[in-house]
Amino acid sequence: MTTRDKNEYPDEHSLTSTDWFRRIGLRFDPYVHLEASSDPHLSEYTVNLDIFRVALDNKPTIIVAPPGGGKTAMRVAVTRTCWFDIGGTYPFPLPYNLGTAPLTGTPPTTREHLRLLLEAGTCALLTGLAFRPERLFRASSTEIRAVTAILRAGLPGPLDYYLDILRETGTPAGLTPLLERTYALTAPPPPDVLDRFCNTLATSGTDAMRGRMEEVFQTFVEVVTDALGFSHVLLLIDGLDAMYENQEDSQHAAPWAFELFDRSETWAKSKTFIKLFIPDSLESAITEYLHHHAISTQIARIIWNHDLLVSMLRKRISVASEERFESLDAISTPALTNVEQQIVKNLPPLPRIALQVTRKAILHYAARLNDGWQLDEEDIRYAIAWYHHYATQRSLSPPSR
Amino acid sequence: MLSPGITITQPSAVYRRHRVDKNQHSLAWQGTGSMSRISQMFGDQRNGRINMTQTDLPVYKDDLFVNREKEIETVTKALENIARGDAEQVRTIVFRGERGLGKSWLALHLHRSAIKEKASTRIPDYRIVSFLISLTPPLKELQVGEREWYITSNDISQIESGDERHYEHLLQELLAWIAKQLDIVRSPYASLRDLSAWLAQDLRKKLESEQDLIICLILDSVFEANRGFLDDLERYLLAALAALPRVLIIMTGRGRPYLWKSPYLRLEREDQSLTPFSLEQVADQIGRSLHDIPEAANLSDEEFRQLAEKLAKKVINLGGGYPLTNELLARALVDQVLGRSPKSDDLEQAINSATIDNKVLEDVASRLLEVIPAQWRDKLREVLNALCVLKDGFREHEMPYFLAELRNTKPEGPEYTITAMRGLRDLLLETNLGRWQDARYVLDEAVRTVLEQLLKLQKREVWQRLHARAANLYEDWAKRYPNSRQYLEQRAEYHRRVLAEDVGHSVSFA
Repeated sequence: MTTRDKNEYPDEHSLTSTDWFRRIGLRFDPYVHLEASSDPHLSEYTVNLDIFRVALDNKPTIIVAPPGGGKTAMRVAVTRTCWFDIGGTYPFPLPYNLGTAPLTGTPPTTREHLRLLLEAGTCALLTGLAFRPERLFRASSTEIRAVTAILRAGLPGPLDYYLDILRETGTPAGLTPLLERTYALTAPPPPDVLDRFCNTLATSGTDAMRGRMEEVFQTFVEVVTDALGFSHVLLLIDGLDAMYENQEDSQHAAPWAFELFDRSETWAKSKTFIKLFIPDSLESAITEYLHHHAISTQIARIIWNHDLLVSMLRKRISVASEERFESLDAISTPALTNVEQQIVKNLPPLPRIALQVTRKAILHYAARLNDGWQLDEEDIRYAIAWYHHYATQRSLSPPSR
Repeated sequence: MLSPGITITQPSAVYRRHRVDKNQHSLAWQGTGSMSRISQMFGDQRNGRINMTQTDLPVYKDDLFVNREKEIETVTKALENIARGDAEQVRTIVFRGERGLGKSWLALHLHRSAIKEKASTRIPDYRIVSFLISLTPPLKELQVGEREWYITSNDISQIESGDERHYEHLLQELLAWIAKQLDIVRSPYASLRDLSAWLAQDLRKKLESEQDLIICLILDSVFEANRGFLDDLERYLLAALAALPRVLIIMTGRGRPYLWKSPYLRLEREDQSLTPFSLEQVADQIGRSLHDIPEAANLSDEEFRQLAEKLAKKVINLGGGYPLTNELLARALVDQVLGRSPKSDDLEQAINSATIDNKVLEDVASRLLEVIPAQWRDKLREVLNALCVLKDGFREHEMPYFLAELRNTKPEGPEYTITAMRGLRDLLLETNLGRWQDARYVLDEAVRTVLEQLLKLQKREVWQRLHARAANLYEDWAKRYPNSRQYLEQRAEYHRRVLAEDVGHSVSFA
């Protein structure tokens, strides 16, 4: 083949244009989102299927991974999967970020935990219902009043304020940055349905539920499972290692989870299950506590090896190409086979780094105007050299917590 | 089914939305042009039956169904596990297979016969209610049975034209139909979103109140459907159903798979690839089809078995054992033989000595390629002809060499750029006649086999040139790309061997 396609590859600065990705057969850039919650396709990429399974099931679980090892990605994927359909019997994902707990210097008490859980739960519930109001519409008027009462009791601001935002913006996406970022769901309702949702809640004529925090939280769980039809509640607990006080020594963070596990058996009886996401540095302290107190919990570890990284990179290509191909081999010169394998074998086994380096290779490919019609060995060499250069200078962005 | 007797009966009180366009031409997914799918029927004056023309698609009949015991057992076991309430349950079974591998027949057979006969016997305390949802229009001759729903050509056309409101309308209709079949009546005016939410809840309650009920949803031709439509199908129907405790979802499909989002469709799933028939199975298939022809009436059982086996050998050599190809080839061979020597005592000998006509293979190939929308067919036929010698698949940079070789020219100019190749590749993938597999694109093997046989018969010199091109290209690349040498050498060797085995070839290597 001697003819080359000229002037069709942009320079690096315009690589984000979807046009260029379409030319190589991809609907979008599958490597651009290093922050899990901002990636709209995240739940489609999941490769740790066994971990995904235990993250959804009805058993208390600890999910262990190294920093940058995909804990946040897993949490976000679980959340979005649970809300994919309109009204089925999926678990209700309650994202509880301990990193946002008040900095008192001591672990939260049970009451504080419950208050924070209720707040996080009602933030998630209002946002989720704004995307899927049909769950509310099929509830009885008594149940709708119970939903309203619990929302008023738990939300950080007045319910009417959030309903006004929904009416003004005309989209539930208006609530996402305000209440729960991981709840950036797809398929929002039409504006008239959203308006009906706001009116339903606003006119249900109920005050905030009052009572002991334990009772209020228990009511929240009942509202979610009985009135709204979720199968069980997942307490997706993250951020244990991100708290200001615990930066010096991550072991100090472990007691922040003890109080929660003391309640895990009681919660399990009312269809509420802890899913604690922790870095591997905290595993021994927490499991020792659970063992000592005979608290039954399953432990799942996200272990990245080169094969799994190859699967992850390929799954992204598969999703972005709408399953047309599953490897960068498809757009490579004959000199290149097993592209993903060649990339990861030179890197530490962490998904974030594999994503960054693969994207760098693609950027280099896009920027090559001469002989630039297929991904080549030179692109891979360049990307790996880039990583080693910056890794030695510690210039790579720090892994997410 | 060489000369099937077709019974014209009044359909029972079943859902018959497909009939609104029964006289229209069918449409394939991923295209907007119409194409002829059903050949004309004609009456056979000799025996008073209605016969099909040589290449009519065979219509499912229970007594013509052969093989697939393994697949039926998989479904039966999944239903048993659901009845037992096993913690580790398969909630979704996917049967994948190539063109003409019998996926639609399997779906129909499961729905109409196998689940009733096998699963209901194994778990007699349970009431299994199955639904067949076909995402391909039915053959005109097919009598639509109970709890069967077929998409229409018009639906496909509207979906492919990008009319998203039609998705909604269609799914609304489908959900309302399922609800009605299960005696869950809701307002027909409800929006799709409301219907979806209600159906999820009502089905859960129904399954809670009827502890002996198992629902089995069979979806045919799933991967061939429009991706946007599948996204909505999952969001509004499948995701909710898959999460329920006593629901089994069975899918069939060809080509590139669809990545489901629901964990129950992704995790609690068993995938099985259907395989072509063995010699014995092809003989069985042909035997059942031949059973009714008067010319075979004088043969003893043993003679009849031997006749079917001889035909099966010929058919497998030509088509690779794919049920649809088997059927079409066997029918064509017998018609060809009877046309020349209609006496039954000559039948076995005539079949023994028969060689296949080019026209017969061409008819079979045309039939297999009908899934390509008309406006792409000629273009893709040329691409398929160029690539059909590549049994182990290809990558995009290999395509120009074979297209140019077919055209007897050099791979130069705008029509051989990578961009142009990617366009052709996408067309192949859109029609599900190609897919990515094991680091390469592969053609649908049922189609590839027939096309290569046809090319060899019709244009032997072109066929030889293509293989020689492959041998030379891979040999050259093996020298230039040391990292891939072993793999490229193996490929070069394959093509050299094919040419060496071909008696009388005269193409020399570069």
